Amino acid sequence: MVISHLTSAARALAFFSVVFGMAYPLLMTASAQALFKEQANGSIVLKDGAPVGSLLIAQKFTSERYFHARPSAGDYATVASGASNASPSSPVFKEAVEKRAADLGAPVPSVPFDMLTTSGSGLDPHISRDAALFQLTRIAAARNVPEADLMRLIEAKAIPLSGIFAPAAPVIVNVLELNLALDAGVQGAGAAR
Amino acid sequence: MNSFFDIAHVVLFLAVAFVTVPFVSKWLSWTFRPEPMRIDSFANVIIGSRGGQDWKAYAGALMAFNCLGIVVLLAILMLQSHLPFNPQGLPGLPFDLALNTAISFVTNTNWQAYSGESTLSFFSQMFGLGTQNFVSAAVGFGVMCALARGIRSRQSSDLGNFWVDLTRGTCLILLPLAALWTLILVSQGVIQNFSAYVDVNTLEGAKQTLPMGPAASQIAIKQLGTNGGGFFGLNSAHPFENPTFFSNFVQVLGIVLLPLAAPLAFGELAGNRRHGRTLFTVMGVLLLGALGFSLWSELQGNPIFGGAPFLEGKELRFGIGHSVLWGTVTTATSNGSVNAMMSSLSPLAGGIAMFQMMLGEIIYGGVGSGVYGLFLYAILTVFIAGLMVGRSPEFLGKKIEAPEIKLAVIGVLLPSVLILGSSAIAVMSEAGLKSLAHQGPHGLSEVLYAFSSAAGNNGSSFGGLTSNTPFYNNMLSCALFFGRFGVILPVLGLAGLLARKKALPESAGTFPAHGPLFGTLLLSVALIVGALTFLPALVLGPIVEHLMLFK
Repeated sequence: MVISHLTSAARALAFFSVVFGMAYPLLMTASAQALFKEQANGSIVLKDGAPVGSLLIAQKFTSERYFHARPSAGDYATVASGASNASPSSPVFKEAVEKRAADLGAPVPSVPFDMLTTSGSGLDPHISRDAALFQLTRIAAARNVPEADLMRLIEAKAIPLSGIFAPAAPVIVNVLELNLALDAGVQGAGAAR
Repeated sequence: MNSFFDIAHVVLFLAVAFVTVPFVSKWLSWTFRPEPMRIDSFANVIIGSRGGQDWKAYAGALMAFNCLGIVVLLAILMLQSHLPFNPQGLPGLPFDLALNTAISFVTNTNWQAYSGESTLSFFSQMFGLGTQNFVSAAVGFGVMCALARGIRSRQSSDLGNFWVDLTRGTCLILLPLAALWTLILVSQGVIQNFSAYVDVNTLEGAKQTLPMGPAASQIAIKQLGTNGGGFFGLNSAHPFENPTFFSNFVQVLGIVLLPLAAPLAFGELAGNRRHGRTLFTVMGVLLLGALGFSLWSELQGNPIFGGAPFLEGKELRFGIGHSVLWGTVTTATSNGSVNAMMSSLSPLAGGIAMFQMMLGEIIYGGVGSGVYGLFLYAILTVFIAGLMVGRSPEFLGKKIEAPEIKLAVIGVLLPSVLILGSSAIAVMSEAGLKSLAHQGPHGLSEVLYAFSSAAGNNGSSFGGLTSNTPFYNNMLSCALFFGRFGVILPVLGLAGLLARKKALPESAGTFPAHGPLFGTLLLSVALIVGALTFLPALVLGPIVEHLMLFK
């Protein structure tokens, strides 16, 4: 009885492995590459013909001239990325939040909270619109462009989370997209170079 | 923060999810109908087993298939450096991690003590884990159907054929759904390729390595089969795994699609639709209660920072509402994938997640397994009701006697013993305490959560716990194995006992296995058993943490 069960099990496992473990992912890859090539390969963006990153994956920005992403528990490592898993009541978490606010030179309540907390993936590509506006003065000064131009840029790149219930939706912006636009030259900032 | 948006989107999601139920449940009961289908002969030719099986043969086939699955997966993981599709040249896994991972995926748990992108080759992911994602889900369906046939049969011993159930479940339900889900997810930006990891120079000139791989096909089945194992370490919080608000919606829908429909299909197959509807309603009440409570707790914000939102561990593109929704449904069903870090949720939302797993994953639960889990509570309920009125209990036309009650009690209590016993060992040993990331109540929660997740075959975690140590890998492997098969075997035994019984005609004295009275009793029994068992532990973990935070 045991032998016959094991024989059947071996035949079944071999069959299912070939179908679900090999044919299925290969066929799906072929279809994905045919239908959605760019997405299937990581939504990689080019600048001057060279890949500079993925629109979906946060980069570490430290320069005054760029919008900064949310803090990352794994310091933006990608293989593998990390989360803090901090408990909301943890004193370590409280200190970390206060230190980040101090580094930004502002008290905790006046900084958009997404800039003080690490994300789940450590690679959150977005910041809130408020967090972008919070960084606006610094970037305008570093790049010597009018704040109004940056404001217009942020509004142009702002995305509500969902089209349904849109007026109430939180609004976010993609940091890499904003920074690429900055480098391409902010519209109306003709004399910036 | 605008809580209108969060609540409105949760309600919208529930509306969409519940609309699918009648269609999906028809599809399920059609797939597992008693009449022979063309695909059966195909299965018979390939697998070489035909005809009905009694409970022992069904259980034997199931155990042979799963034990062989563990051995083969263990070998694949340990030998991956010698196998194809390994562009990063990743080394084989050490024995304890490989064993833990193998048992975890075979038991439909997908507890992950590793990060996929830095540990597993594409071959291990798709050929090893991907295959088990499909078949372990179908095993759950098979057991549910065998139980339904046991209830329906009249003095026979035939529970159906395990291999036929496995083939029908994977090929007729999971495969078409997974293919559809894959394409939707790729359109949103989930990656699906076989390329080596891509190095780019960032805008500031630093080197960034972008991990690659066949992720979408894996993620589709991980949601639909209530598996939950991510392609990447941070699961569906990772932007390559879950890039947009819409991809998130599609994935949560995938989590609940089959579990929501399962109780109705069970009722249909067991020949008692009203019983199926009552099981569905009891689960629904529990889910809505848990969801409402978690949302309320999260939307209050963190008092330490003047009510700022609980954004630590969350991704902005999902918002608070869909992060809490995911955390609740992934622990109600035994999925275990996450889109926000469970450990950073408000203490009560984390506690609710834990309690749902402790109840034994009966709030819709895993595909199939939620139904047979709640059915064990239903047996206890009729037993208690019978004691109250002083007559020997009957249930769904069968007399319930001592052996049935014994099996039900084993199935209900074994996971609880595993959770509390293993947690006690962990917090009393140096090896167990070394892994904690937090002191105090949150540290206890990390341990309790890990063993609840393993014994309930969920797979989510309070990720602060360093679980990739020999101590936790081995302890959790035991909890995973016995938490799965320590419930499946009593259920199959129960099905065998019920199948052989004479059918009793309904009389005026029969206690109906449906309706509000039965539903309320069942709900109370589940909650009371769960609360009596776990309240002391929960008080020392999440509840104390809540009180410390909101003092």
